[in-house]
Amino acid sequence: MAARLLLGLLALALSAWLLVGDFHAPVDPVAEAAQGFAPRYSLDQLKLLRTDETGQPVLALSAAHADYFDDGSAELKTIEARGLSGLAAPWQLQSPRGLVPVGEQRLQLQAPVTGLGRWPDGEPLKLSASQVWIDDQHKRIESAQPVAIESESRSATARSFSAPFNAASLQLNSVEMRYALRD
Amino acid sequence: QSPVRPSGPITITAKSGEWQDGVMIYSGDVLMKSKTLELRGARLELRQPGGNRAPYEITLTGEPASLLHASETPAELPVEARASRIVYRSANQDVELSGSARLLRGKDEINGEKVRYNVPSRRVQADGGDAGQVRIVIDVPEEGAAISPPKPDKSSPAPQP
Repeated sequence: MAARLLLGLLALALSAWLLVGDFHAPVDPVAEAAQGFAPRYSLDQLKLLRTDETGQPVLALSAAHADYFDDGSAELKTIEARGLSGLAAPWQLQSPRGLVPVGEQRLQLQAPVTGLGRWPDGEPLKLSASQVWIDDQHKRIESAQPVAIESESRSATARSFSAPFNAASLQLNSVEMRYALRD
Repeated sequence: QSPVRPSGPITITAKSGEWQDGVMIYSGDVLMKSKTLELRGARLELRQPGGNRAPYEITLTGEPASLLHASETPAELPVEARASRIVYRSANQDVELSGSARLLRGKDEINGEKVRYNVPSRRVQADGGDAGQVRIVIDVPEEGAAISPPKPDKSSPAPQP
């Protein structure tokens, strides 16, 4: 009974960090998660579902392991995030490791980040990047690092990108797009 | 398929590209390059109403927007054009220049409110618009200089620079 209670507490703590982020710890650029401190809580086979105001699923996040630290930072391993809303859903991102900095509501997926999704017109695409943020507060995925996108009729490289969870739009900066179009 | 026809891969570079409501909008130092065409401008919208395998339509604006159609053979002269708006439809390879449109081929020059240029045939049509003014400057060779016979004119009597 106590184990189930603890698990509930851990899931609650992690959800609170993901959804509310109401921490008082100073924003410390080098989170304890990154410094190898001992975690306060650890979770295995973490599964989280983010819903919108109407209860519709928006984002599903799973991680093989999650450590949660005193300064409010967290480290996740073997992560998969799935976008579940919008015309271009589902999209998915995978990464071996993720970090939530202190006092932030964003999860930084670290290299190699790979993804599957669709252009807004439906064409399937593959994405690869060295880092992608999942920003729960603004409901966006973005990266300030180079990204490459491949699909059958077009491929792009960009210095950074940003898209809402529902992938209704896609912003690519310093972009080079190659269209293999046939008239 | 005519070698001049710029089908096949095109590359667009720009400061930013954003997909919005079915249109890919590129802005900031936009350059589109295909095998024979080069378009430059401030903003480029690429539409593919029929999906990602269908012909596309490009609307380019700038101050000015410009086009360069390279020559494929020694006999051909490159064509340069400028206007505030350039629309290019890949299905028929038509380019529509509007807003202070100006097209240059060698020393020949056409100015008008609207100039139409077909890439494969390299044929030009000019329209003065409301202002009713089309100005054509044709570089006539010096007296006695060898004049190469004009190409057979198969289609409508478009002005032949």
